[in-house]
Amino acid sequence: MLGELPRMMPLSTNNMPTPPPQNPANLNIVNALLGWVLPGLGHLTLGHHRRGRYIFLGVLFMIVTGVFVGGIDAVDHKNDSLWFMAQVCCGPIVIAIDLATQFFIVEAPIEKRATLVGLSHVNEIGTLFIAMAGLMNFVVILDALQAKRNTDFERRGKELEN
Amino acid sequence: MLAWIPFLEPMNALQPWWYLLLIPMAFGISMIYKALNEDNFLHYWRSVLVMTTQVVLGITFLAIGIGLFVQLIIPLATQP
Repeated sequence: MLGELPRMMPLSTNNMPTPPPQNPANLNIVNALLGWVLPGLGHLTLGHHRRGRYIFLGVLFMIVTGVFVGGIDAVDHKNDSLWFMAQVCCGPIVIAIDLATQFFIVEAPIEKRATLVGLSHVNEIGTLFIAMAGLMNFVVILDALQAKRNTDFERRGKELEN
Repeated sequence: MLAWIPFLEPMNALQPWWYLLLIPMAFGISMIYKALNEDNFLHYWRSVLVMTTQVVLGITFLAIGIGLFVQLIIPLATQP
């Protein structure tokens, strides 16, 4: 049985079908980076105007609500470093909030710091809001990476009319 | 509450009502999710509201189920 095996298997791999080569040009790396710089900008520059606008509104809504509930302490890369890894997917907005936290809270005297640092549920929920925004924006960035250009609804509608 | 500075200080008045924040969180997640997956944006806001309701109701029923399990079933199961 083992002696028959080499006859059944091809000796060379020349006849084997090769997988289609992946074209790295299909990945919209610049748009993905733009999607990190400002949520939704990657889709806007791809021609997905509505998608980009709604993504921007959604991510901004979650960040603003998170900071409104938890204060700027909801973003703190020193004390909540694991959460910050998720939050930073929202882009420079979160980095700016973190800088504000370091400037206003960490440097503040202890009696002032007591009023600025969030405790218990409001701190948890505020942190969670911004982390969820970051994780959702990560999905948005992945979508922008492989999205086709000009396939937004309004563009499709114009193509159909033409 | 009067001395509270919005966006700088945490909103401590919400401490007892923290679970109500599930509603804006579900709304925000639905906004982003539907922005990615909606083909026809004519019904965008309606589908966002539907998804928000589904998420809130799902988590509410899950919380009720887990609450009943912890409060009723576990004490019954651990009775000698």
